[in-house]
Amino acid sequence: MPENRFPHSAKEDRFEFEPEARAELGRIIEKYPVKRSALIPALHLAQKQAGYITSAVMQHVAEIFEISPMEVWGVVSFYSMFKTHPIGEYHFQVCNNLSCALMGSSALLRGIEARLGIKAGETRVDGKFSLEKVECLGACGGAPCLQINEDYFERMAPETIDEIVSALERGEYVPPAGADEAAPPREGAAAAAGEGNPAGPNGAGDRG
Amino acid sequence: MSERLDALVLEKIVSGRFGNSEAPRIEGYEASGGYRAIRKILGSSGPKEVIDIVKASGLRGRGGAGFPCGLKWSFVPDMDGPKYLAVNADEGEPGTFKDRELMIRDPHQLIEGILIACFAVGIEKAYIYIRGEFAAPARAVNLAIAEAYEKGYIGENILDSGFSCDIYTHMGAGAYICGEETGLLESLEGKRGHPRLKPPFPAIVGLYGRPTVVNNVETLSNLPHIIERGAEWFAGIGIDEKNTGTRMYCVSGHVERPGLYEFPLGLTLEEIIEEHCGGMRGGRALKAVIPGGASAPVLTAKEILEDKIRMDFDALGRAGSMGGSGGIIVMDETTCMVQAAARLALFFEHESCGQCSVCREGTGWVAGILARVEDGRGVPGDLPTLESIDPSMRGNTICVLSDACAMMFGAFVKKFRGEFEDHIAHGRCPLGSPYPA
Repeated sequence: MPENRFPHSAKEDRFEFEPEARAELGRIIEKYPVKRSALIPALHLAQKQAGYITSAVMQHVAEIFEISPMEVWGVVSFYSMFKTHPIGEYHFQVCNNLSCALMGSSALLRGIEARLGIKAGETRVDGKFSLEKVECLGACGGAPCLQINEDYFERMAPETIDEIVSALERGEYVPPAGADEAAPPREGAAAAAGEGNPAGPNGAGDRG
Repeated sequence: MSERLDALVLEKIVSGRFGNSEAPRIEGYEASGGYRAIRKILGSSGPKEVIDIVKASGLRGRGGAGFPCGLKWSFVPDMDGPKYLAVNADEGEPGTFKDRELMIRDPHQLIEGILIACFAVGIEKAYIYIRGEFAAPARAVNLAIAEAYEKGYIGENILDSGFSCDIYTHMGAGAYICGEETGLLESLEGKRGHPRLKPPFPAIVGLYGRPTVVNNVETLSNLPHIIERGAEWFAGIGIDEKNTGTRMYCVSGHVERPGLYEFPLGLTLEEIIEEHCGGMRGGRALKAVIPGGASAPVLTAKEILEDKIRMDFDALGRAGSMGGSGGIIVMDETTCMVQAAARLALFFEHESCGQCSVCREGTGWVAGILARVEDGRGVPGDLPTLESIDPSMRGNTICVLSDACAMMFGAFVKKFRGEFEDHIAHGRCPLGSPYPA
């Protein structure tokens, strides 16, 4: 289970949905015959706005759903995507499960830790980066996989980390090829579709 | 290879449009034969007829359990009031990455499959429960839903047939257990994803207490093809009448060409690795394969290369493993089996929902013992302890996460016992812990 701690926040902590988010939540609630179903979507919206789930967020969400804040906390603490502490502007998640481990995810993680100057589970003091070791991201054919915010970077070689982080430090974000809906087929998929005979992955998985 | 498979090895069903970059958009989908199946049934078939076609096709669930799809539908009682379809797109079984691609590359195929299922069972609301991390698949599916509403394939009185159906997406928030069908329903109701005690099964008491069908993305994606080309055609693909059609196989690990492949059910694992995935990476020797996602018991090189195990539901079952989610994790001779088992045990510990003490405590004990053995701190009593934990973790909990963990480490310990003993006897990993956590 995710190791979330109840976020005791400062007295001045306030939260209310911005009008646009509140309107969107209204539309989401319409989708379900029972309002409570919109609780997790509401928490996603709140986290997007506030950066992470504070006790004020839970208080506000509890009022909307007419349940107790502790019931909201019960849901927040169950799901690993809900954060109860600030994370970086760029949140790095390195898959640590077997397929990625076989292909060199520990070297990748060490490379990221060295480049960012933080350990897994930490957020850099400038608030720009945070790093987390996570369970299977569901991209095992492109192992090792790194998720930065919403995007998946597959077949990650430790050597490419510097390039990506340096770009982010300059404020340039280059999404990975294939992050788009109409992505070109990936290697295995292309092979499955009978198109060509693509080469295997690079040496990312070689243990040096 | 049997002739039956030989002729059909290149038949692609659900990944047939993967090379077509226009397919994710409705014009591209229609131009390549899309939405013909739903037109066909709305024009001429009754729900019962559709269920019979799907039953006759032999289609089994592609999510993990391999339960016959048409039979599952037929458990839904014919009663008034709302019924629901919950689409399981909470793909999270380690080693599995097919539903993500099916949603990104052919989202309309899924939508058409959903419409067919809803028509057959008399459902007017479907929720696609997408794993929270899947932003790109969700974008693709949401766009496709909007396009399909626009063209009248979803909504009120679809194509003037009198049949109405709404389809919504619902994002999860990071919890493997929500891929368990009743955990999914709890989560969809806005709660912690704690699996429910069964029976009653969701077909009788499901979402909001109403009859509910839970189907996997790949299962549903097969339906337009079955409707259009017929049950007989589908049943003719695959090794026998109980293992029909194709599967998406997600190949990862030490092969030259990892990736997503679609093959008829019944190829041998050796054929998949050697003939289709380019063989073992760097020409190294095969050591072991997990054939159906992390929960499927590991197979040894001997079972694969000498016994020629086939990748269909029943052959894997007879071999003491399972087809599971189609995730094939290939490990070569450099892999430490203790470390691999320890890595997977950590996963089960992390993902245990905590409801049942056997699972909550058991997964933690197993992860702790395996980590200790891998670190060289194992003691001679560790293997007997593991073997005594194993049976108590099976069949004693609300869902099968605990069983899956036991099946996983039980197979590793049984089949690679010598490696565990070496770790304990020598106080270190003989392979030097190739994948430090």
